[in-house]
Amino acid sequence: MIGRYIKSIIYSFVLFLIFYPCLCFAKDIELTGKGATFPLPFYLKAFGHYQKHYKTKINYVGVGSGEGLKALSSKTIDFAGTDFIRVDGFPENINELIYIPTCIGAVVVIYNLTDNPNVKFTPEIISDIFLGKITRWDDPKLRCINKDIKLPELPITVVRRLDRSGTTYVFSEFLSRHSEMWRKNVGIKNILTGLPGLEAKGNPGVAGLVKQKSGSIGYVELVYALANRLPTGHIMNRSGRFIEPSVVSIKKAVEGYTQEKELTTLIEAINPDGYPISCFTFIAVLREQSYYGRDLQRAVELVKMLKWLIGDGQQYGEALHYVSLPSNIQETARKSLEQITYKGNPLLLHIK
Amino acid sequence: MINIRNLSVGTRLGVGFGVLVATILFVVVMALMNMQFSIKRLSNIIENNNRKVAYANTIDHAVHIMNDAVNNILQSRSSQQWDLENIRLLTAQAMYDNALSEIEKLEQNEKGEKIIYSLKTLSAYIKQQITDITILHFEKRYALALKEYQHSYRPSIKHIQQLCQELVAYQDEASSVEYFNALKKYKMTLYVFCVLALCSFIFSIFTAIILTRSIKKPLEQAVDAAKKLSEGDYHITMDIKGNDEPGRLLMAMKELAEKLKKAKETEQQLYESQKMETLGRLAGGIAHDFNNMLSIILGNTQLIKMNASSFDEKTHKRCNAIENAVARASGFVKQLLVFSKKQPLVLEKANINKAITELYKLLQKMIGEDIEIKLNLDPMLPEVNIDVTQFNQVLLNLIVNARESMPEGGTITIWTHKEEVVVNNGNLGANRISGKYIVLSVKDTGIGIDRAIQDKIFEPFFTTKQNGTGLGLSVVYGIVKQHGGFIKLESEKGKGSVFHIYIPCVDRIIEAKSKEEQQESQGKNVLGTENILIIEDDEEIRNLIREMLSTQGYNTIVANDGLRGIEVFLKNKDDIDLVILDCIMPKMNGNKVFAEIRMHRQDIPVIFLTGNNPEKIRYSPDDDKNMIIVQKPCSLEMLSTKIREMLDSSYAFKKGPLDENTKIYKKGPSVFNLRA
Ligand SMILES: Nc1ncnc2c1ncn2[C@@H]1O[C@H](COP(=O)(O)OP(=O)(O)OP(=O)(O)O)[C@@H](O)[C@H]1O
Ligand SMILES: [Mg+2]
Repeated sequence: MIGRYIKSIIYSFVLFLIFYPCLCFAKDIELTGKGATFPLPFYLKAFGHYQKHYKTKINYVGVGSGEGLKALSSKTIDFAGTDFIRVDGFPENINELIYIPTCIGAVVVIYNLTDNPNVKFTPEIISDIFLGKITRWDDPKLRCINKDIKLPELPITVVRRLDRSGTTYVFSEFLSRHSEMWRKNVGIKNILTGLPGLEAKGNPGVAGLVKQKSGSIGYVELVYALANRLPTGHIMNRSGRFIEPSVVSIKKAVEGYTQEKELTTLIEAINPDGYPISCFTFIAVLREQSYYGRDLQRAVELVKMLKWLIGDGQQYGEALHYVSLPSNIQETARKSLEQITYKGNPLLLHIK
Repeated sequence: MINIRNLSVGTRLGVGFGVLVATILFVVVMALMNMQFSIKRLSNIIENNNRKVAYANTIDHAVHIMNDAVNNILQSRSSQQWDLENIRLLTAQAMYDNALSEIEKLEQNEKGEKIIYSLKTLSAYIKQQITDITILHFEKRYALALKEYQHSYRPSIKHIQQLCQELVAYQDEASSVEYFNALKKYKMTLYVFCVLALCSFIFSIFTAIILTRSIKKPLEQAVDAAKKLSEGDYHITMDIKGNDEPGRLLMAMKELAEKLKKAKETEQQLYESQKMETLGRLAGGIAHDFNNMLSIILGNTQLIKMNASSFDEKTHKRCNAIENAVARASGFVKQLLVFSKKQPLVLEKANINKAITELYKLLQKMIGEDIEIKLNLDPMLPEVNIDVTQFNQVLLNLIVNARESMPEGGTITIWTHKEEVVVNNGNLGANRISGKYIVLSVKDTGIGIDRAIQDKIFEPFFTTKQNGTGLGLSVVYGIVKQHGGFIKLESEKGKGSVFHIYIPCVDRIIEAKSKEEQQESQGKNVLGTENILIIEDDEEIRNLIREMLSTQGYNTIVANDGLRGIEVFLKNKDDIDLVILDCIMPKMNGNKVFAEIRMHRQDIPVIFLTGNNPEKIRYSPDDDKNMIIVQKPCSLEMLSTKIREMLDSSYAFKKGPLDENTKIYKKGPSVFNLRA
């Protein structure tokens, strides 16, 4: 009698040992993502809230768009954050990847000058500075358009991104459109090499270095400038106005944006009050989710999270000076989600 | 060790200066590089230090920002504020990590690495703490967050700041040590540079000395040589080492000196041979005339002796004394004739060695005991054509001279060998001809011959001896010359002399005289081959005349009285070309004989000999062009001249111009030898 009792206890223990990991696994899934530092504050906040509500933990590490896409194409993560869609280096993944726009931000020019004056820049001047043609803050070209402020007699130290970055991509795309010199010498690149100046990792790195070094200049997402209390350059848009980057001016820029065949990264303001270097940021996932031994639940969780991010999640961006997706873009994003499959079956159908 | 004199002066100078410039450049470049390196190192140290300190400060700064941000979060209840402070935290962490990795790159010291490792672990630790605190705060568990902040976050921050300070302090210390080391090294290299400069300076001086010496020395030699040459001294010794320009100059000078020397020698030889030639002619001429005079003296003496024989013993004795003196004089003359090569050679194939050994036997007895004669004869010596008698005379003269040069005694060495003589300036020194020779060498250990008289000793009558004639070597010279050879003399005052006699293996007997000359000289002795009839009752006179005429080449027939004379004449009346007729004779006197001869031949020349009374001759040369009267005692010379004259005029009279053939004289002996 007792023997049978003990036996049943042992059996149940063994069963417990066998099934426990499965139970645990089923309980909380941890999604991992890597990539752009551009939307990093937004994602950190949004995913924090998502975990609170849905108990799904999401790890996102800001390593730069390039690193993120690389990790995704090697199929070791669930999703990648990126600010660019098409780029040399990842052609084989073009059709396997699906890009979902998550929010809109702005690339701003930050600098370290005493008293944080608001310096005006034309695209040509930015190009000249980053190409090393203008090396001093009291350069006549800069002075010419900044008559209202006193520019210090300081050399300019340029700070660039060290890693492959969507921010750089957007920034160079903008400069290529407006500066002949930039187009010829650099073009649209996700990394700037062979140019003078210092380099730093990620948006925080650039912000940190600029914060530290007086006379330096760099480019980051708007929120990094605001959080670190760094002055932002007023940049001339197509209408010839110098626009201060802010949620308002970004929204103005997005207002005139109409989607063509595919989404582009850079959003050029048509509105005369629009900030000229606004852009989308994306989350890239693999079209077919049954890779690397992933189970259905995981894929479902991913799509569920993404669906939330382009819907309810949008609210968390506004607080961080990002701009939410307009409704038409939200629709585009949803359509993109529909294409995600698990063993050929669209996943979005599983989610209410 | 390579001989730099093999390189040309240009190359030498080029290489020398090249090396100098290269060395100087090398030193300068080395020094500059070293200084550059040292300065770079020093500034590197300073820069590294500055950068490390700057990064350490950045870390400090970043930590400060973090602290500030966390502080702000804790004090704020607005989520908007939290978000921004979160971003500040991100930025600060990026700064922290960036600075730390930069320091890590610069750090090479163990202690520094330890500090960096601690900073790294602390960084991760602090990140975790920040997340914990912010999460606690976001979840509104403010008290717990604050507690966490105070009890673990603050100390960590403090720890980091302390480490940063440590890093800076250590950095300062380490770099000062490194700076000191670098400075020490810098000084050291400065010192090395100084030594190097000194070395290159010494090296330059050394090179310069070698170069100048290598150029100067041969030039000085050349100057010396040129001076010597200009003073006429051709004995130049030069050591020519390289084939550079001065070397080639020296070589050229040496060649020049040799050429000059040779030319001088040739000139000397030419002069010598010409001198000897002239002397020879002179001596020959004198000897000939002398000889004739001697024969006249002798002939007359004999006549006197004949005439006086019957009554005067005294006259006889005096005549004998004259005859002896004449004999001695004719000995001299004979030697002179040998020197002037007027002695005919009787050539035969002979081995010189044999002649020497034969003479040697005789000499051994003759030569004093204090003198030793050594023979060293080459057994392979070929036979040559020589006049053995004359060769003996050569050897004898040489040996006699050798003995006379050694009054205290010594050794005479005689040796023979064969030698190939190559004369390369055969055009000038006509007395030497290339070819095979046999060489007879006579060496003595005597007084030697002074250089100043070496070219004189072969002249006739040159002597340094009280009783010497000075003819010994001139005879040797004449004989050797006639054999086509030459003489080489090696002698040094006080050490002895060697005479080398070169006799050509091939016949090269020099025809010293031209044919005409020979005929001329022979003509004086061999005057004709005509047949002469001598009719003379005095036996002595008859023989004297006969002897003379036969030596002069004529054929003579004698008759001792007139009757016999007619008899002989009639027998050979067509062959007889001339008749010598004594006036007073028994049986039939000269007048009758003459008449008889004229009866048979009108054209025949007749010489009437008459004593004290020529009026006894009834005929006169005025009537008969073919007769003359010669009064006794007459000189044989005059008689022979008259004979020739008569013969020649009778030819002219009888046969017209002289026929070439009659002028060819067939008989050889040409020396009128009184003694023989
Ligand atoms: N072997 C010799 N050593 C030294 N001097 C010599 C020798 N042979 C010749 N001479 C020198 O050469 C000179 C000429 O020699 P040469 O034989 O012609 O005459 P001589 O010996 O003096 O007289 P002669 O031969 O009639 O006795 C000599 O007087 C002597 O000075
Ligand atoms: Mg002598």
